[in-house]
Amino acid sequence: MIWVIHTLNGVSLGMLLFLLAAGLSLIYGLMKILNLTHGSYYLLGAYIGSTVIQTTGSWALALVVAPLIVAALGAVMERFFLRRFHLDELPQTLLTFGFLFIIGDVCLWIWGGDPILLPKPALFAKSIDLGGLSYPEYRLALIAAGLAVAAALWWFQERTRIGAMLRAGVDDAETARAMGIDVSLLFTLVFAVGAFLAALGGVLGGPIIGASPGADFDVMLLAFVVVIVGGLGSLRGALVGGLLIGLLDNFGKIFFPEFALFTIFVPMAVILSFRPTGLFGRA
Amino acid sequence: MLEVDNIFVNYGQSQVLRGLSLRVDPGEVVAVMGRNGAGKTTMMRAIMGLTPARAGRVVFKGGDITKSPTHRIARLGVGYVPQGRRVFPSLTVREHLEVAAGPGSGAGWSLARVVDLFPNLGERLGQSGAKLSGGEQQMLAAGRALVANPALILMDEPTEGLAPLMVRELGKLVGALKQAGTPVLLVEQQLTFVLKYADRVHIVSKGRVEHCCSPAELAADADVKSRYLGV
Repeated sequence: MIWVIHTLNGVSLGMLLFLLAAGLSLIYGLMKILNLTHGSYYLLGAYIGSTVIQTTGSWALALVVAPLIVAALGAVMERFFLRRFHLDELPQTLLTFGFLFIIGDVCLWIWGGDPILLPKPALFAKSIDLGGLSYPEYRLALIAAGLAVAAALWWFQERTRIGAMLRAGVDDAETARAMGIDVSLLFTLVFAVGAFLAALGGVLGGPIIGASPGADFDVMLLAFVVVIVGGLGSLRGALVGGLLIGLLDNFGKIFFPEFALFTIFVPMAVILSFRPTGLFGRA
Repeated sequence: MLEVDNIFVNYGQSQVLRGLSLRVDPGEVVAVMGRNGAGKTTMMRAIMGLTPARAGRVVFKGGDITKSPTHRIARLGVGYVPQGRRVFPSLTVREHLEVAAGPGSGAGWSLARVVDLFPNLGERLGQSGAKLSGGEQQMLAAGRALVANPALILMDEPTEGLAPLMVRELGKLVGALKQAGTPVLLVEQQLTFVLKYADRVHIVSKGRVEHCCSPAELAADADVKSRYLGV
């Protein structure tokens, strides 16, 4: 039974990683930007969420407000900064790297240096009995939330007109423009959605991973691994990669606690040597 | 309708277009011919705003579009059938015909009418654009431009690599456009296709229009044909 619990832990971590990686992957797929600020969106989401919970007492409000604020920040970053360096990799990377430091320092300034853990929402604060072992409901709710977001994103991408425009833009941005699609508006939209999802991951992951100075780097690193394993630009890759890395990380820490990062990066290297574009990436 | 006035385009150090000018009047099919590397595709890209002209002007329906963003040029009513078709692998045939659709000039093109014209596409509405044959991809690239109901269509080597049967299908389309009064700017290598459908022919060489004539004159002019077209 203990293995069921370990597996559930891995899956719930995987769902969080999916939320982080989905936006990163979409942004790279459409704009070829490696957004080093992505971990900062997570951190901001968690911190803003904690403040909203403290001041209003409403977990549900935090789940909406924090991602929306961070989404606005993502849109501003794209519209007023990254846009000036379209397809110019070095300035883009440096710019997102700069934002990573600025946001990290602003967070340190506002929320201090002590690690925080968000409270669990009252609705899922209890544990349930799983064959004699108690398991926190919150982790199960997290898995459900991750699946719901994955389903919503899939529907948006595959079943809506904007989703089709987005896929056209990823396939061939130039031809999409020539069909009258405002690809630069899609850029802003995708940046906002990516930031929204990462901040959502920050609020949802707050009670488990928490927020602290440096968490932005850790989260960014994991999200990059997920995206590299799953394949840049692919939502399915982000989901499968997230679950894979979540499980590997969890079981790695159980079996080889002294090699915690090893169990993530070795499989990544193996996958890359057989499929350089990742599991679901296109050449 | 469209006036390309003395445009210059560079790719890095090399000058691809050097003072190219031409015009397309309402209802006309204007063909542009010339050897590979003469600048035909670059001219199309300059009109579309994909490789904007460094100097000179592109005027469409009385407005200067030289520096306009590509999607705005498309929405103003310039349809584009790019060289090499460039269908979207992640979109189904149906999505290709929905995503770009709009009332446009009011010519009444819709998914249903495109499928009427190219029944092959109708049988493959749910398939990915990448799974189609070369000819079907060309039909799709044309259909995708049509459903926006453009006031002018640019077609860049539409018959390239097509079987004779498919070339005939495509001819049907150009004929239909002509009948509907939609002007076409056609870059084309196949002389017979041009002679059949064009109202005027421009010969491009080294980045500018060197010669302009009617199809009948071109057919009779062995000197121009051998000098610029190698036939």
